[in-house]
Amino acid sequence: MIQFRKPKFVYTPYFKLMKIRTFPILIALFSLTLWSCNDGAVSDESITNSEISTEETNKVSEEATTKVKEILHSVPSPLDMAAILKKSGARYDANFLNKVRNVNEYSSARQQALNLGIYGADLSYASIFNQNQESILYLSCTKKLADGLGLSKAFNDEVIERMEMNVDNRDSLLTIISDTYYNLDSYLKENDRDHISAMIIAAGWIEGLYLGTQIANSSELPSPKLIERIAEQKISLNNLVALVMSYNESGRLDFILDDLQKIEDAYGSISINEAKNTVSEGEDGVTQIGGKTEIVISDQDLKTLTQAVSEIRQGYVQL
Amino acid sequence: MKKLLIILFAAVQTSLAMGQCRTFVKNNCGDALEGFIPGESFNAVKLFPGDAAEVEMTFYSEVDYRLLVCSHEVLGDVNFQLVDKDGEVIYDNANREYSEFFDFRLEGTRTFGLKIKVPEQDDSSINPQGCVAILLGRKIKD
Repeated sequence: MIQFRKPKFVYTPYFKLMKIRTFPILIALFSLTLWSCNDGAVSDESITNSEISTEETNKVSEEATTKVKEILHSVPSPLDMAAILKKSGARYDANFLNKVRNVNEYSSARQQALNLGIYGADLSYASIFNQNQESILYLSCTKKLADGLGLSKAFNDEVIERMEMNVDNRDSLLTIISDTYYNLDSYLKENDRDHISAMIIAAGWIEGLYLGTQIANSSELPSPKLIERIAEQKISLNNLVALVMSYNESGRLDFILDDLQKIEDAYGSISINEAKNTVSEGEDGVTQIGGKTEIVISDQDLKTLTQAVSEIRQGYVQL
Repeated sequence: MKKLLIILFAAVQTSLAMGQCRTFVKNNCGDALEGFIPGESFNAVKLFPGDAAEVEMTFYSEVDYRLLVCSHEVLGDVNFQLVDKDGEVIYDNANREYSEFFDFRLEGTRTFGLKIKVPEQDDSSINPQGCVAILLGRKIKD
């Protein structure tokens, strides 16, 4: 049973550690900050020195900690899911992707964020399967949605040009896609729009699972490896829930948590047992972490999961 | 009013810290992932000496990973460990001269905790703050 729990994260926010002599200093620093913003003087190298300390304003800085967010979470990306789909013998089927023409109909920020995640996963899927022209089409969809969300600075026309220039080099395409989504994510976090980032990540993860389950169900004899990979997503679901929860201060992401709860319920009877981990050095110098994963999943489990994911995904792409 | 100023200050500082970390990562960390497809998530934070961070990460089986903990040199030798759900240490960079990266692959999909610790510094009059970024590269093979 996956439990929705607080992320295990012990980062001590720097505000908690910052010690300031008096409140006026805080105001002075704030003014200085504003001045430096206006001046465009956000310098690199990210070092600041603080040598000031008293007890009184520790209270002040502790109050400020409530604004600092625990930001470190890791969920496998749709590109990872697409890669394991291909490796497990899945075939490419464009019918499963969200339609390109739908992109013009998404007008609210919520629709745009969710479908930026969904088109991103579709883009990854098309690129992994070397569907290069389709990849550029889907990249254009993501660009349009990014523009709609005010993210043009993080996703400019140059990205499309780079894609077109590297259309025959899959690794270059994948790197460009990764770089683009990395830029979007960092830009959103930098501008305190973490909830949009969480929507993109969650919708991308759901689309990856949607593609996997649709492919498995469309085959008379789906590859056992593919089924295993779908079941393994139960492991990363925990991290995704933790990520969404950490950015849900105002309840704006409650609907995603409800949807993830439905997926968790659908995973309920799928069991995963992990053997003890072993560590050894491979011949190529890469560390091998041994320990198999035993998965028990029935045909009915797969149907239940497919149905649950499909309904949620349908709710996200519908116009 | 006081509270509002504090909140505003915190918000602006957080944004600036993120911006500075973003620039730091862009200028200092990318090269170490050459040959790997970089991850799509931005995970970076500014830390002081003595600070610690922990994050759970899921890794798929049969993928070649490079885990990179890229930190500003002012922080010294930043220690990181991968720890499994039983608390056993899978990897500790202290045993490899505080190498910034770890190359590995797994037999089965796993979630590990990544524990990061910035060393204390002797000179207490200076309290340097620097970015620590977590980057995950992988090789995509057919």
